[in-house]
Amino acid sequence: MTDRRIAASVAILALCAILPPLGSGYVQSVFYIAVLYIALAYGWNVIAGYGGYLSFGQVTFFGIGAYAVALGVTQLHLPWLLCAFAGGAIAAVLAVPLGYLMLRLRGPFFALGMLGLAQTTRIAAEAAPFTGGSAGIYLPPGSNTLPAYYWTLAVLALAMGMTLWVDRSTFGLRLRALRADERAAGTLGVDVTRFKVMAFVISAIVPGLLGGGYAWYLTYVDPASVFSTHIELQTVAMVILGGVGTYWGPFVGGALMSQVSQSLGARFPQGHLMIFGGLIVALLIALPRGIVPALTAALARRSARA
Amino acid sequence: MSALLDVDDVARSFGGVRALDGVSFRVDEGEIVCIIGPNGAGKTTLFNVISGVMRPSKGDVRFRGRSVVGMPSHRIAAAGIGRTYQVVRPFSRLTVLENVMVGALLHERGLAPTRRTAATILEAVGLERFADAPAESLTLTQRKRLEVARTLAIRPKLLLLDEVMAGLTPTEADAMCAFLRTLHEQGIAAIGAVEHVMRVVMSISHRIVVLDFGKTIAQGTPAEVSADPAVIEAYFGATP
Amino acid sequence: MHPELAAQLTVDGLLLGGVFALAALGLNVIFGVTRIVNLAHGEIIVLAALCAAVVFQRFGITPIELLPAEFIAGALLGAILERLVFRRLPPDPAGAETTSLLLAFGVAYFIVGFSLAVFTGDFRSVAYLTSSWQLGPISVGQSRFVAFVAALAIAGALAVLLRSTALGRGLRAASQNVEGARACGIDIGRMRTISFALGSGVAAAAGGLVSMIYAVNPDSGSQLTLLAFSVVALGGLGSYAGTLIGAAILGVAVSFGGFLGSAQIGQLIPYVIFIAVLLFRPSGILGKSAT
Repeated sequence: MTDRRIAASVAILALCAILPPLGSGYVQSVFYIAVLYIALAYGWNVIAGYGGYLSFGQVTFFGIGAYAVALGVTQLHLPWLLCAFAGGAIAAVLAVPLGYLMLRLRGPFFALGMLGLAQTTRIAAEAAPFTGGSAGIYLPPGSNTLPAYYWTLAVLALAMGMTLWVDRSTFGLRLRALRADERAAGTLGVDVTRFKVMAFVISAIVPGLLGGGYAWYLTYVDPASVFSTHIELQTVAMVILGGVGTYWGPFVGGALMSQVSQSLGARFPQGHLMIFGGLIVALLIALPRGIVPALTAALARRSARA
Repeated sequence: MSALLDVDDVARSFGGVRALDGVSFRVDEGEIVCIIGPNGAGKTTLFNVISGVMRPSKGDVRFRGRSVVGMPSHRIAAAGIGRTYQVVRPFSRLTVLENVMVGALLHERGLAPTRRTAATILEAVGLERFADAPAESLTLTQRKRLEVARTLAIRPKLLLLDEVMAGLTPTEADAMCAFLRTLHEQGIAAIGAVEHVMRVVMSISHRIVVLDFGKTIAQGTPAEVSADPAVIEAYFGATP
Repeated sequence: MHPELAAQLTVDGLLLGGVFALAALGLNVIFGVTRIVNLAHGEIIVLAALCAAVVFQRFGITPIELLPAEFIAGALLGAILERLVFRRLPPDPAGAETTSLLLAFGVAYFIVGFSLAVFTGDFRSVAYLTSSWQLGPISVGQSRFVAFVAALAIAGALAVLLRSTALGRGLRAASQNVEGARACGIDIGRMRTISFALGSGVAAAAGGLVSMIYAVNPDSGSQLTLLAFSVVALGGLGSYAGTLIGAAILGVAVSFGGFLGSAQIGQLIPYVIFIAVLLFRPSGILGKSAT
């Protein structure tokens, strides 16, 4: 089972690596956005899907990663890749104390606490003296799509690898146990706080690394776009569509929905939000467990009949 | 000889209501102690305090001579106190085997050895046929057994069994008693919480603690407790 | 700080607190009966505020005159949301909580998108009663004062409804003990719909009053949700008096923070209070349902 997953993942990632350079700039952007959102979805899935803590603020770490590249490149004149790495590292380091604090909140309070955190960092980025305020920061222009794309693809590979590990490790078992019942997990010897903070850190590293690629791709960073709850909204919708807490869910949901998003986004930005919001609601009502579990169940039924 | 567990003048209140009010008793190694008390007497709160789910407002709980007050519950579990819950709720979306594995992880490294240990325990409680079934699919009696199995997997020295007899038929109650006896033979102490004074309970308990409105109204051997006027008053009222 | 300035900021803050209380009361009514934390609450408030601003601009109808219509429209929206969306929850409590949060998140952004399509992203407010009364050294903004009085009147009406009517008794019974209420012949499904209607109606009324105090745009919703939650965190979920006290504290804190720091700091205050209270006084958050 695991071997087949690894083989399929490697094949898909290889395909994603080979195809874009053959296409036009437009095709490359389409691939970039799709891979970006799939990777974000994998990141969110660890804390929310496996850990059961719905975070509506992981975009905080995305923004931090984006600013790491924007500031590192323009102020410190460092190579962007180094800054993008640093963005992931900063996200991880910040996620430890933040996780200890935030994960003491439960359910709706955690969700709201994280939503507020994203807003707070956005306001901080607008107010701080070195971030260019709400006007943002321009990076040196250039054709950055492919480099940003390969960076993002590498992060996706990492995120998929970590998810696979979570799925097949004692860590993942503990995480699923504490999602079901924290108190019982604790009295069975699971160090609940430690494992949920670990999950939170994983879910912070992924957007932290991705943010830098996004800054490089856009060659522009401003608080409203990199700390945007709209990014969070799309990520959440994608995981729900694909299947929360499953290995393939983020991939399927992200691939499908980023296409919808791109064809709508440019032409009809308000409708975009309505459609994502409405889609979350409709999916939760009509297909609450997502495409992947539904398909798996259907396949199992067919093979049982055969 | 020092006691395995020493509950010393423990009190706990919730917004002015005293759920526990100066409870003291001790449990020796391998001993079976029953806490008897009606619903709301404070049995579950007592278990919550011992297992670290709650802190007492006052008093101390010592396990093997060390205070466990303020310890997080996973460290208390690692020290050797296991507990079951009154409302049995297996980890949902985990298989029966995985439920037991969670407890077994305390002493094992890696999934494969954990799985083997958990399988042995499942066999011991007779649930091996359901190992790969989702835990939610079990019947209530099977869930109770799973609850005990996953707690045994942490290899406790002391087992807290909340409402062990609730909802059991007489045959099942006998089986539970037999189970408690095997624990005793293995040197595992157990505290069972039960609602009523039952013959089966009296027959297997080394000692009995009677709780009423958070207070210990009697404790001692089954013979002493059943002769205690306060217990007769509380449980049998005016009838002789 | 000059004592007169402190007094001025305190009065400003207490007046703000009236509207904050109303925002939080709506949240409370819904949570009490359904145990659903409606994250889309702030979006409903903002939608109502934007409607009030546009109606005032086009037809000259003041937010106060519009209050009954706002309440009814909000109540309808709430009832529809409950029937169409929030009724579809899985039976297990953990699953229901997760699903209801995600549903509310979806609803919130649906409303944001809708508001953007209809009202654009412009900040809007109502320029009504813009002068102020001078009481000795303290000036009282007329719009704030009127909004405060209206908020207290609605809060009072809500209290009377909950305490002294058969419907109110049904709602309170349903929020205390679902099984018991059902055994007494109370239709729990209906109570859930009504609580959503009532809570959203109150939110919409609060939104109308918000338009007299703040300029909002469709993206302001999550700020107002946070604001309502900070009041709830301060005062305890399910406590009526606690809500009023929490709202007063928050109002004064926002007033001082906005003056001493900046408008941006003022925006952050509800969040800071929310986190601080939840972390350091966690038993106070959920009120009675903490265990």
